[in-house]
Amino acid sequence: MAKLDGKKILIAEDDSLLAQMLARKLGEENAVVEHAPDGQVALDMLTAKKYDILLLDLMLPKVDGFGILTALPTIEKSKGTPVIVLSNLGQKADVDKGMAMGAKKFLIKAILSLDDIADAILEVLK
Amino acid sequence: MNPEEKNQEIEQFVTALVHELRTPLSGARWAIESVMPTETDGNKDLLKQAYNKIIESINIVGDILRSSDPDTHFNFSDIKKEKVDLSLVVDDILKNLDFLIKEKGITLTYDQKDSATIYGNKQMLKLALTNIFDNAFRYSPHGTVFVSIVKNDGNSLVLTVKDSGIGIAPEDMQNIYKKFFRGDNAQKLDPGESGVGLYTTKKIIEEMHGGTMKVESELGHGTTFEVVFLLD
Repeated sequence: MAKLDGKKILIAEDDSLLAQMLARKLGEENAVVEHAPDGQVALDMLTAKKYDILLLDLMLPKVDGFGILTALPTIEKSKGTPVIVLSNLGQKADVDKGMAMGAKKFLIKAILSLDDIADAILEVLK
Repeated sequence: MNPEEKNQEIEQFVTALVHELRTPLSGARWAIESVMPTETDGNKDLLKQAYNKIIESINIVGDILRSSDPDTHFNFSDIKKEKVDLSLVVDDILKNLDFLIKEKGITLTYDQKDSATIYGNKQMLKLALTNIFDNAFRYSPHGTVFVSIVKNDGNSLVLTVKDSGIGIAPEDMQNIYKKFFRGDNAQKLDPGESGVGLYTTKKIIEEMHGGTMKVESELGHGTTFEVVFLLD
């Protein structure tokens, strides 16, 4: 059995290469992956369906990651959905803000391998 | 614009720049990770080299970000510390820099390796010490690098990295820990480096870990870095 068997994961990421690579890796771990290329689409998807986890970029078009973290508790289907912020920002102020707004982890994309990210998801879902 | 505003503007610019650089680097990194397992041996070797170049660039970008505001990025009190075996950290660094050792034709001598634990943050130590090793290998083409870890008089641990490289000019010695400083000879040999490495290293070793750094160098003959940590 692969690590993320059947877990429903939403990736909110505007960079298509990054989104593809994440989807491919998590797909190999048997997760069911969906992708939102901007913040508004992510909010629509979170309103329509419950996911096991949200991988959230911060610098997103239309509604940014912090906007999604603010809205999440008000979305009936998605309140309580764990969020991992996956960003290339890494200043302490951003990390503190993301964690204070309820993210379970704040990961910097560039310094992590795809394996590291899969492990982090697994840890949050434990 | 007053100096404080100017600094803020530079910091915002650096943050934006780092974000813009990290995104394509992350994409390239992950793409290589995705295809590497299924590639043939010949292609795998090329991909590994490309991968190492990307990791090098990611590290430089991280250095630039930290150097723009080290106090924000190295919040010393927030850094989690644990018992760390320094020799394992050094093993890890040497493994990561194996491509550079080969590329530069370095003869590496690592005879004494006392195993002892210090109290610190493994990732930060790795980042800090990688800069010292990277410099030793990068600036000693076809030369030798001597490494040792020696437990001294029961309460300190001394890491020595001695190279036979280009050395540091006497007039440059006082500047080596300054942000973005690079000696003329280093600039000529390897123009692509950023010059923030040792600045970062000193912050991590001395301010975060209470260690000390000592450097001796002779132009044209090599440089010796000695890093002393108190034992846990």
